[in-house]
Amino acid sequence: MKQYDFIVIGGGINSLVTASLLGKSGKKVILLEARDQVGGLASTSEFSPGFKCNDINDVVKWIDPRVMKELNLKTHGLDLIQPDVVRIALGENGKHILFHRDPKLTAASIANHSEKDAARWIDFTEYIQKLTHFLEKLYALTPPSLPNVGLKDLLGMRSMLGPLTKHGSRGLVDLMRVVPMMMLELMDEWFENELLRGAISTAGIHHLSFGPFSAGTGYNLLHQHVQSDGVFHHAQFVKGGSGNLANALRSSAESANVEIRTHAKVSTINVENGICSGVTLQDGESIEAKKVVSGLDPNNTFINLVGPSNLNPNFNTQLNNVRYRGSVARVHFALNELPSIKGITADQMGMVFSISPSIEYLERASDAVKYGRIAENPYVEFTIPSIINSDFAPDGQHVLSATVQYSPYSLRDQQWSDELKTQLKNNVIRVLENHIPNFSSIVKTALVLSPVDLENQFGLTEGNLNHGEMTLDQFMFMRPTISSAQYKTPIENLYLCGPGTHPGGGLHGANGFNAAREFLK
Amino acid sequence: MPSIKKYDAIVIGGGHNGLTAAAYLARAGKKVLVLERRYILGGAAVTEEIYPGFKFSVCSYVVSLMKPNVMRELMLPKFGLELLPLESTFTPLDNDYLLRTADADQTYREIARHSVRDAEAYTRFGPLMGQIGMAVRPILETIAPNPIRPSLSDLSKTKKLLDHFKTLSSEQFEYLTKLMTMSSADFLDEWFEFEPLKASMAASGIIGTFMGPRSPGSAYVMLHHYMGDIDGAFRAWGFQRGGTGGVSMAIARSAEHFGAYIMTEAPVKKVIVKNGRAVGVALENGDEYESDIVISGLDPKLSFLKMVDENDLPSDFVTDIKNFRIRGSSGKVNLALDGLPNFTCLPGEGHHLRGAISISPSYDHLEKAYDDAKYGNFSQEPYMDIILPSMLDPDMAPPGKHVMSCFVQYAPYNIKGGWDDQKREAFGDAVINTIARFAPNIKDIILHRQVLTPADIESTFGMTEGNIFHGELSLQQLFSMRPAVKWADYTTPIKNYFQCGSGTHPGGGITGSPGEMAAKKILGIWS
Repeated sequence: MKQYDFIVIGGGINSLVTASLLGKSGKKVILLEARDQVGGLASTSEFSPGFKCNDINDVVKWIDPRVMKELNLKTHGLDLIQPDVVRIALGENGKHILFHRDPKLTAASIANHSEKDAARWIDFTEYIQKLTHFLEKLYALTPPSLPNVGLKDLLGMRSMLGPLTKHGSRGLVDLMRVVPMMMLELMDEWFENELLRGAISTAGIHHLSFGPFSAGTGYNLLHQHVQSDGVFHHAQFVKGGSGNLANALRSSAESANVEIRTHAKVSTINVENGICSGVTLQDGESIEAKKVVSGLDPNNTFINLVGPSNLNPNFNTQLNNVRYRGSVARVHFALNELPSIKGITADQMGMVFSISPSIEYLERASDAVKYGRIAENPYVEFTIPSIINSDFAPDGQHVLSATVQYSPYSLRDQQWSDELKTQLKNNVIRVLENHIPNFSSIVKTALVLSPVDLENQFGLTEGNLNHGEMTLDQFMFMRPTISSAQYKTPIENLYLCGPGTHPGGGLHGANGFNAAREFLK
Repeated sequence: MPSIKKYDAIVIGGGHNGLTAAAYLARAGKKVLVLERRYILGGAAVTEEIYPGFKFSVCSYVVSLMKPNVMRELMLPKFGLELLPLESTFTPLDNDYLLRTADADQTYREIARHSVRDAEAYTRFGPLMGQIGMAVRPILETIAPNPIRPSLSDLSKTKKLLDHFKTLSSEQFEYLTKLMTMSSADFLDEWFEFEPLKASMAASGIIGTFMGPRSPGSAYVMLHHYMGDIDGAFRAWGFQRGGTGGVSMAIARSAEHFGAYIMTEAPVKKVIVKNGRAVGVALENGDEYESDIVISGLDPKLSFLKMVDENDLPSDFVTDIKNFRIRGSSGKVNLALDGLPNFTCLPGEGHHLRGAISISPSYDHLEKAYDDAKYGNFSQEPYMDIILPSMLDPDMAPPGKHVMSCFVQYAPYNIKGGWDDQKREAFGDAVINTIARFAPNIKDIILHRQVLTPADIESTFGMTEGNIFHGELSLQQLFSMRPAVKWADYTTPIKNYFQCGSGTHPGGGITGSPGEMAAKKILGIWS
């Protein structure tokens, strides 16, 4: 008799969601996390004495409502802050656009730059909301196994009739138009003002290695706006830091009798004759279970833990062809004082800033990826989390955390080094100083997380935050591969639940929810 | 002057698709009039003697995608269609070269010289692309259904296609999905390692597009170019004896044989619309012709924003057409040469001059060329697809002399500051300098140089923005959405007004397919 019904490998958001749901339905579950804390990319830590940061994600774009409800995350202490101003896009010469929760106010801010664009804003947000409505339903499904779709699969997709009835087939056609589009095309259809075009396009390139002139960035924009209630650039902050999302999930899992072990790094997933029986930890301990679920990315799960010799050649090839290409770096600055940003008042700073003066600016930054270097003038998105959480920094002092694109994992003719990280930091400072003129003088210390650091510290292949790029060839029934897109794998008793599965990356937990539903069938 | 003023059908534009539609309608017994703006037929598929004694396929320069049934049904070989296969693809490098020929063993050895792994993969890659090409063929041959308000026949078509997809293996379906969505570079990286091979193959994914090889979506264009079929030989490109205009002329002869009347130098000003119906056309010179139906072979922007009044169209359709992407990105340089170019890496005459010469030494070469264009300049070191038609058909140039056709990317239509004579010549110089990097004698043997910018292509051939496909081949502009949803089956919101150009399904290239399918749709409605 095996000790556990399920082993869940990895303690990221999706693993916690899956483990909780399995635990709640009476399964005996153990969750194994390699790091000293669970939560994966929802993590808060002290990066310099007295200064805390959200290592990777300052913002929670959306949490699957099914997860919120089933796991009682509110009861378990999750407190989400939804600021009225969600984002400020900074342009040249102190120009900026405020994105409010209320689209009418956003339109008023846009009107300072273009009356014509302002007049179209409400229509645009409604258009995007209409399209994400389809994705919301799609994201709650287990992808069908194509090309051989049976009647059962079609019946399983009947929830898609909701948006179809509401928005008509024209809605579906619009979705099919926008998904493969490039930001440039979408913006050409809607807006003229460069600052606005750039500001919107940042949603299309978020955490991607491609620039806004790349087809499929339309899809990424929609992905960022699922469950956003029609709020463009929707942003929520976790009170106490993103790590508190992890704490709430942990508390929920524990209340479902999930056994959680940290410092428990899995070294192999034990597979014999195509059947998985359990795992072996780095310290040599073996744990058996009826089923093993991995929340790690496909490369870590199969190539590193299962091992190529246990994979059929076709699947092995498919796995080697999954594209990761992490292109995001993080820089956390400990600051002596609150930075003063041209044209922005202190009470407006508790949200996300983007430095995205034009689409061309973003595209030029993205060119760095194809030539294997870091962007000289990167796209920088930043927050000052110490405004929302005063315990992030000593009194009067602050933290500024920047997400920096493009900073490719794979470089040409060089490796990621301290020197390059310093160069990246200096690039960020230079870009920030266009808006915060005295920035370098208020920096106490800084921490740079390169994609290689992200890989090493968070177990992310090539530092990709989504466990595989959010591109159309890695979407739905192709995610992570055509042979493993239903949370099952070609290996018996081995399953997937991480962001490498449908519907991809983010802190939403939808993958984990869908996966658990499959396992409990 | 035609003696009669009333026709069953009038076709606007004597390009190869317009002519194809005309031929099919005439073949069915309809009284057809074709009206061409220029002095010469063929549209982009045209041969002209730009320089005395030298014949040029001025714009479109190779044929691969012409549908076999069109050739047969219109008896094109009888009317002069004769395709001479290109013998090779030659990629000159600074110190070496890559030469692929129709001889599989020879090509294997040649690729193996650079990478044995690639040589092996190449033998598997071709057949796979062939299978995928066959797998999409039923889509290409289906009149696109209307997803907004599907008719019974639309539903049955859709079901047929879905059933067809179910017959594909998981592997085929996987690759099809990848080809529809990925960049050609990413797709090829899964197969090959030798960069010049990958770059040369990826190049067919950028031809006619405003994308680089690393741009998602370029793999589909690569597939589009793989669907060529000459005499059943897959991925075979051919050159029309006498120049590409010969294809158009063969179709024109066929149309005339079936009784169509063709007028050149007859620019149409407007389609005459009465009570929401097309009833004829008015020429620039004031002449008017009546007809039961009017078919436009022009691109969607011209067909709907110029030939008819916006007021005669529903506003959502006008928006869709305005949003239709048609960015021009290519130029053409035609050279009359006193002798043959001599490539440093492979001197003298040979197979390599009797096929396509691809200036694509690396992905970076192509990407940098694209970077120049995406920020509003022509490429300083462009990508080129070059052929020497006189090597295959000596009649193209006087004895001992040659013509050279260089298809060039990128040359953005919307260049910063606009195109002018100075920029055109600078663009021509960039082309010659790039060729000279590999064949230094080129500069000494040029007798005449014709440089066509996208602006020139637009003004000469009437293609908006100089886009050679009448609209980009991006995923959202294919099939039921080409050129606009609801109107992808060759009909238009105006009764009795139809479309048959490359801006309709299945898109650009010398295929005859839009013309053929439009004609069949029209004949279906007529009966």
